[in-house]
Amino acid sequence: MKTATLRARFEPEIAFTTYDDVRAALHNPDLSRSISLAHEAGNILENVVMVLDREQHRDRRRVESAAFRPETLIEIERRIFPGLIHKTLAELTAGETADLVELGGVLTVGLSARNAGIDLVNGGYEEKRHLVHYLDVIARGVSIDAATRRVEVVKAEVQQALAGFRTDYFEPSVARRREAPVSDRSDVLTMLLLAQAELKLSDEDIMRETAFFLEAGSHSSAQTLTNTTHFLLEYSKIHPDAWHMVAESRLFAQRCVHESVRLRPTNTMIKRRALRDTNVGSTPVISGALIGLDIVAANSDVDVYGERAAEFDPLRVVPPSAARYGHSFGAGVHACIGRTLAIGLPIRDDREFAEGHLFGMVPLMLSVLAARGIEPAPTASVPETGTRRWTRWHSYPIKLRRR
Amino acid sequence: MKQRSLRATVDRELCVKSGECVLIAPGDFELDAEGISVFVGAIGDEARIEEAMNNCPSHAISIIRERSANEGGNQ
Repeated sequence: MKTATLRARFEPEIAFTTYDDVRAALHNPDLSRSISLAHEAGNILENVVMVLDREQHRDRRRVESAAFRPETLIEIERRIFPGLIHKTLAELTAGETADLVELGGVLTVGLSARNAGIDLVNGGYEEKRHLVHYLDVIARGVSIDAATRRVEVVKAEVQQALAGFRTDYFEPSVARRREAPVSDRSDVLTMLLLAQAELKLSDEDIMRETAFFLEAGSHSSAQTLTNTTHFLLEYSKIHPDAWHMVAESRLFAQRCVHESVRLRPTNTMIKRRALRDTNVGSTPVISGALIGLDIVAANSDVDVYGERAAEFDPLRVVPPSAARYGHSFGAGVHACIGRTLAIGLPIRDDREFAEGHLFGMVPLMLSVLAARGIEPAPTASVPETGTRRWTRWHSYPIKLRRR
Repeated sequence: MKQRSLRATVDRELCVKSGECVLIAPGDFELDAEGISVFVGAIGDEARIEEAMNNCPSHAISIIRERSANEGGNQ
């Protein structure tokens, strides 16, 4: 069967599991992020920055970096996002059950849309839910190499979601920017439209790129928020003051998020295709080989994180040479462009953080939810996620005790 | 007493304008008018400069450690 063959070919020929080997692989320019044209063609991934290499990647990323400048990130974290959270939560009623995955998506999608350059009509809760639904489907296309269903079925669903996204959001946002350019706009869409000829991009390319940014910013943050909450609900049984600390200390909230991201990365097995013969550590990799980077194993490497590496411990001491969040955001040229926006700057145990330290959107959301008294809500069965990336949630019912 | 002076260089061809170095080591890196990172070294925080180098997504930062003129030792 065709799908079975395709899936079988997607089992990596070599898997790397140590922190150092995975780091070396992520920094190796001979290992491409583009792993299969069969998965990329006709999918959200086609020609997006994530699958480009070398100069093409550098030139695209340079243009898009304008949306993630330091002054922009500071403005978002200190002024824009806190207001967005409170406005969105004001629409929820205390004591009612909410789905944390959806809530996380709704909380972050307004900001992600702003950065991607997608204009919302009224920015209300229902409109954001509508957009989050598109992004949930698009996320299945991003992780298509780990799909549990036939690739053709996933692609067809993604195409349908992209068609809705194009009509409802993309085309009006493009028209607005072409009709009335605003010189101080620096969102991804604006920057790509300005560089469209130079980068030789079609409108379709730009549509996929903005949808990809929107998905990456919103969907991953919602999953990270859910994973951290899941860990904290367990951790607080042994450390009853944990939620209070999360509510009171943004730094502790950030430690919890980094620890959660380390143990439950959004992508559990990063894949790379060798462009030419190369080495990862002392292991030779031949041209064309598909390699797997086991992020869960590398992030639990006892040589780096200690004997109890597999446990959730926000107060863990980590060597200065390692990241608290492990390799969950990748590294090297394909390191996630939105990492600082999502989870802030690295935390070091050996010194105080700088005055301009950023904590990130997810820790901020977590703090606010902790202050409102988050607790699990009993529920019926939860649907399948449709992916082998087991760290993802389809839904996670919660209650907030206070508005 | 041994002294070392540290400076960093940024490869303009490689820099992808992420600004990561400016956030990690403010005062030691700045973005120029084109958005490319430049090392200014106003603070000289060795640990942060090293961290900025390690976190640079495009490996555009290199660190150069030089012995200062008054440093003793074998010649």
